[in-house]
Amino acid sequence: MDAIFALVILMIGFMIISSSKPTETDDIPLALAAENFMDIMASVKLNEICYGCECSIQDVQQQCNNGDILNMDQSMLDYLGELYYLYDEGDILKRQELIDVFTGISDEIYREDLYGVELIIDNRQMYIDGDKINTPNLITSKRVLFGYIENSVNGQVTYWGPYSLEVNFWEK
Amino acid sequence: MDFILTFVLYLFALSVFFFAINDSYFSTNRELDVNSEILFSKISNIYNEYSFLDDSKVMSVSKFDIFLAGYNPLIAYEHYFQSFESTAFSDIDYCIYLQNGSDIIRNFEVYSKNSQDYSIIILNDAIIGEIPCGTNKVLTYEDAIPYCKSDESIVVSKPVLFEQDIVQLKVLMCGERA
Repeated sequence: MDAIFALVILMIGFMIISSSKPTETDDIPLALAAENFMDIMASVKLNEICYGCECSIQDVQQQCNNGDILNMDQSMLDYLGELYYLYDEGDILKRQELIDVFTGISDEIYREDLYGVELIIDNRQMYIDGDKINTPNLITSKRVLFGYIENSVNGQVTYWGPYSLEVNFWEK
Repeated sequence: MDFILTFVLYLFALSVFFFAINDSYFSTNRELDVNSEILFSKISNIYNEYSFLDDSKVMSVSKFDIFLAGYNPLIAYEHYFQSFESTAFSDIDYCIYLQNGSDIIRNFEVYSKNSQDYSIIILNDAIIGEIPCGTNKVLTYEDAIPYCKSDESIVVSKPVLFEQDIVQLKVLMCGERA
């Protein structure tokens, strides 16, 4: 009788252990997509996607042709920070330029039909594609941006930042 | 009484044993799976003649094509994928390719056995028929979707810089169950 009782306890214990086995999360591809996005934005410089002002990304090429890019030797992520600084300083046209560059680059990196994306810089929403309300999977990737702008005429250096740049990803 | 108690303990030990091996390599229910972060990290952390990826950047076109000209898929397997072996599969073939939009601009094969029944097809041409991955490594295949002839497949990707373009570096894995 004792043995049967012990057996029942052991079986119940085993069932509890089995049922509490962690299941694999399905957020992994989404998290990797977010990290891959940030990695390439942070590691690739503008002069690596452009030969002179002939760029593989149309929006970057247009801004290069307009003479808006002051430093080609900065990463794509830093360029977003620079555009945000200029927008924050009062140049309201820079907001649209920032959005154009962000969407132009992100179009090459992730599939718009699969993922929604939101860009927040310095706690201000700059861009959102899709509806993130009620999404079960939301992945946030963050970086801190800071840099400087050098006046090519008088050599004066203006530092900008630090800004927090946040990109939210979710499955549509 | 002692006999019953011993029997109960035996059952308990047996159940713990089978619980422990449930997710081990002995299980035949395992699906083809890979941690793509580790996979791409491993590919980019090779420092010999089989190194073509530096974090998010592929080497230049000219260097990459030289690399492909002297390329050996069996040696590449040892460098890239040997640590991802799974006993649930008797054979896993790999196709590494660069995709720019819908075009495949570079492709090369990796496999562990020097066999004739390589299972990854880069394109099924109406005239030529099935073209295995790596047949022509530098030819551009428009709107090609590589596929497997084997039981299971998985594809992982990572955006990378190739020359001036941001393209997708993809690895298609095809597994043949043991």
